[in-house]
Order: sequence, then C-alpha cells, then structure tokens
Amino acid sequence: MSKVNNEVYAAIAMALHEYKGNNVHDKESNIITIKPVQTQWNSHIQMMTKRP
Amino acid sequence: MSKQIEKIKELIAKREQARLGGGEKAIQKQHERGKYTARERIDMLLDEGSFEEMDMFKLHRCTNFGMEKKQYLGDGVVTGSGTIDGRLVYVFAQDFTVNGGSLSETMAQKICKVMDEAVKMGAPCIGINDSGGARIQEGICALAGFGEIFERNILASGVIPQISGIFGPCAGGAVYSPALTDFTLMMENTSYMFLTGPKVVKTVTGEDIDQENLGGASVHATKSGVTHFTASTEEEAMQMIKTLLSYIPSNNMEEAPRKECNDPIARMDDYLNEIIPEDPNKAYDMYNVISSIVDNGDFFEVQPKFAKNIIIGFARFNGQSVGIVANQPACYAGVLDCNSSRKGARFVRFCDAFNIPIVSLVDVPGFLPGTGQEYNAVILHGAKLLYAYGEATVPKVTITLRKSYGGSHIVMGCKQLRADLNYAWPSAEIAVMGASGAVAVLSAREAKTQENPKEFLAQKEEEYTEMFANPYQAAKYGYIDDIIEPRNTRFRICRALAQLATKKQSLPAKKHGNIPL
Repeated sequence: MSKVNNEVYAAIAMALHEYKGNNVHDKESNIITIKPVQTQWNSHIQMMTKRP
Repeated sequence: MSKQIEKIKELIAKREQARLGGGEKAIQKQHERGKYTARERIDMLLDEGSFEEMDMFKLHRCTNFGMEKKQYLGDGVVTGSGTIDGRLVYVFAQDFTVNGGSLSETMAQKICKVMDEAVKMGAPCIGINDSGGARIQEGICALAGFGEIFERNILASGVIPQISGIFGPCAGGAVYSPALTDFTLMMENTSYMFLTGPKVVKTVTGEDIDQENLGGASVHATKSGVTHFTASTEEEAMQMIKTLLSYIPSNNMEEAPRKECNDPIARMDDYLNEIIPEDPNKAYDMYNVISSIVDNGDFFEVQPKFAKNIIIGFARFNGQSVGIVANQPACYAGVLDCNSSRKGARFVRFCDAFNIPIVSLVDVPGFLPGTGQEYNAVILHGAKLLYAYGEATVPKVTITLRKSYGGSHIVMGCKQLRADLNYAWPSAEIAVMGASGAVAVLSAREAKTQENPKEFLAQKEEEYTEMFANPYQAAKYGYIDDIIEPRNTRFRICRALAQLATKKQSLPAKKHGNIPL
C-alpha cells in the first residue's frame, strides 16, 4: 500500500475548508502606488509650535 | 632629539596617563566588581576608531581638603564624539576609578560641553553614569555643576535624543539627569538609583532595606517605571542602546533612518483572522498581533516589565520606524490605569517630538476602577495620555481590534483627537460601555417588573450587543474610516503611512501647554 504524502491530506482539507465557504476574504490591491516625494510642504521647521 | 619630538613624546605619555584614569589598581577593582571602565564602555558603544575625546587633560581646581594633590587627567569623566552605525553621537562616561566618579565642577563643565556640542550639531547625547554622587570636597560648586547639567537636559529635551545608561551608582541629585533624559537603561545587579540611600532611609523612616530593593534595576523596571530598559551584561546594554538609536532620528528636524525592507508589504497572516476569541471575555496575546504585522516580526519594546497592560515600543513598517502603543488583553484585560497611562503618554510625546508616526492597537475595556486608582489620580494620569495623543501632530494610525469602551476609547487615539486614519476589525466593539453594564443601567427598572428578570436582561444584552458592540455604529458617523479584514492589517498600515508621509499639522501658537502632571 502506497504511503500518501501528508501534503495531499492538507490540500484536501484546505479544499474542503474553502468549499464550505470559509475562505471568504476582503480583497485588497496589495500595492502602494504613492511615490515618496521630497517636499517642503511638511518641513519640520514649519511644524514647530510657534511662540505667541 | 629635537624639542618637537620630545614634546610629542610628552603628549603621548600624558595620553597614556589619562587613559589610566584612577590608576591600574582602581581599574582592577572596577573589573573585579564585574564592571568595565569608562573608556572600555565607550569603545564598546561606538564604531571602532570613531571616538574623538575632548578635554582629556582637564583638571579640577579645587583646593579644599588637600584636593590639589589629588589630580587625575580628565578628572573623572571621559567625553567626546563618535559614531554609532555611522551616525554622529556625543557621549560622556563617568569614570568610577577617579574619586569614585564623584562629580566635580570640572566634570560638570566637560559634560555640559558635550551636551552643548550635541545640540549644536543636532546629534544624540548618550550619558554613561557610574558615580558616587557629588564631590563633597567641592561643596556648592558640585551642586552648581549638577544644576548646569540639568538645565541642559531640559533645553535639549525634544531637540536631540538623550539616552542615559546607569552602569553603577546614581544617587542623590545625580538621578535627575537620567530622569530628564528620554530613555534610561540600568544594569542588573550592579546599578542603582535613589534619592536617599538605605542608611538615611533607616534613620528617617526606620525602614530596613538594601540598595537593590530600594533602587535597583528590577525595582525601577517593574515598580516605578523609572528605567526603560535593563541589561544583564554591559555588552548587552550597549547593543540595546545601538538598537534604540536605529529607530530614532538624530534630532527633531530629521526622520528616523529608513531600513531596507525585505518583508513584503502585502504579507498576510491568516492567524490574525482567528486571533480574537469567540468569548469576548477571553484574553489573547497582543504580542502575537504586533509580531505578525511589523517588518520581520521585529519589535523593540520599551518598559516591557512595567505596566504590562499597555505595550509600547518601536518597530518598522516597510522600513519606516514607528512607535507602537497597544493595549494588552492578556494583562488585566488591557484596562488603562495610572501606570499604563503615564507609560503610554511619555512614549507618545517622545514619538511626536521626534517625528515618529504612532500606530495604536486598541483593545481596551475601560479604566481600572477602585479607590486604589482614584486616590492615585488616575483621572490626571488618564488625562496625560489623552493630552499626549491630542497634541501629537505626527501621523497617527489607530486600529481597534476588539473592545474600545467609554473614556478609554477616546484616550486611545480616537478620531476626535485628530488621529489621521482609524481602522477597525470586524470584531471591534466601539461603545460607551459593554453590554452587561449598559443593560444594567438602561433596563434595570424594567427587568424588575418581568417574570424572569435574568432572562430578560440576557435578551436585552443580546440586543445591545447586536446594535452597539460592532464597528458599524462608529463607521456610520465617520468615526472609523474603514473596517478591515484582520489579515490585511499590515498592508493597510503600510499604505496609511505612505499616505500620511506629507502630513502637515501644527498647534496654535503658545509658550507651551499645561499637560496635567
């Protein structure tokens, strides 16, 4: 009798798990498209608390 | 031999003499105590070959009690500049081999000089304390020296990072300098900090206690919260200081150095989808959440043994350094109390002072009730944390994992405290209070008229839970920006931080606020 690889059992279990509707996920794009910029907009000197 | 060569030889000889500090015997005694000398500590801390010493030949000018006959080059402290991982830092290390490291006017001048240089150059200042206190022979001049140091600690506060390592005794007025710095590290078993020693304590209060239990590292790490880190070996201590520095900028105009990130921002951990227990009263370990979402699971915790119901520390998201503040449900259900409030507040203010974004992970059922807390001014301490969050203008990202009730919801970086992005897990319960407490108030009278009050209240609790114990009520009003699947938390935080990179926010002009102290 051939020994079945344990990974096969894991794959079957995973498939059943998903079939039962347990693999519902909120999809994200998973990419950040914002490019870092050098800007004076929020330069730290400007954000110091000003003296009254 | 030319005169120049002779003079150079004299210089070399004097350097050798200075490097011996209090002498070979004193160095040997220091080693026998399991402690390194000041120069050895500096060598361990700084990049090899980077240390440039200042005032190596400075001498004290005291003539009281025959002190003019007791001169040591450098007089008890080694000061100068160097680099740590290529970044400029200024250091001073008190030399216990010279008069027990006791502070003289000259020593204070040396320390003040490096502090002034550090502020001028915008570089961190690291102090290694190992001192018997003020040099009594110098009288008021020693006290004045301390005063000068403290004033510089205050002026430099929020300008450059200041780190204190306590590698030996630090008693009396000397303790105020480390207390004024941003972070303190103490050596286990060989260091202590207290205002008055065991002998005076015994005389005045009759209390019999030893140095370790009065002001040792374990006391200050667990009970008082005075120290942020402890180390069992000096090598470990130096490594901790270096690690700490890697997360913070050199001054308040810079950002922390960015580390190259090999951990994918889109890494999802399905474990997070199941980490919240079915039973809302069951605890889970917040450390598992933190390690799952930060870069490579690396989290540098601050004050790990003090007020364990709140977790603070540094981590990175996509290579960017952030400060993490998280309630710990596995300790006192994550309630806020006096100690956790002030622990969190000081950390939030440090992050704000040094441009480090704050990521808050919230699971807080409220403030710890009782006279123990009320008599110790939990109101004021809670207000500290509230103030710190509200005042902070760095990017603030708040994720509510489970409970967020009442005043503690507000305190932990809510939208109204100008948090930039507020996310919630689907398991979040954002409400004035928990179901049982709310129903007890709302339906108690009605329950008395029922046939089965218990069943009635249980049903009301269920209705309340369905209506309020979820994030959608808060999302309905825009108090939560989005509800996210737990396994996506890492990605959402990474993107949030990218979005908030150009955040500009300031405070009204004022001399300074009046944070409840």
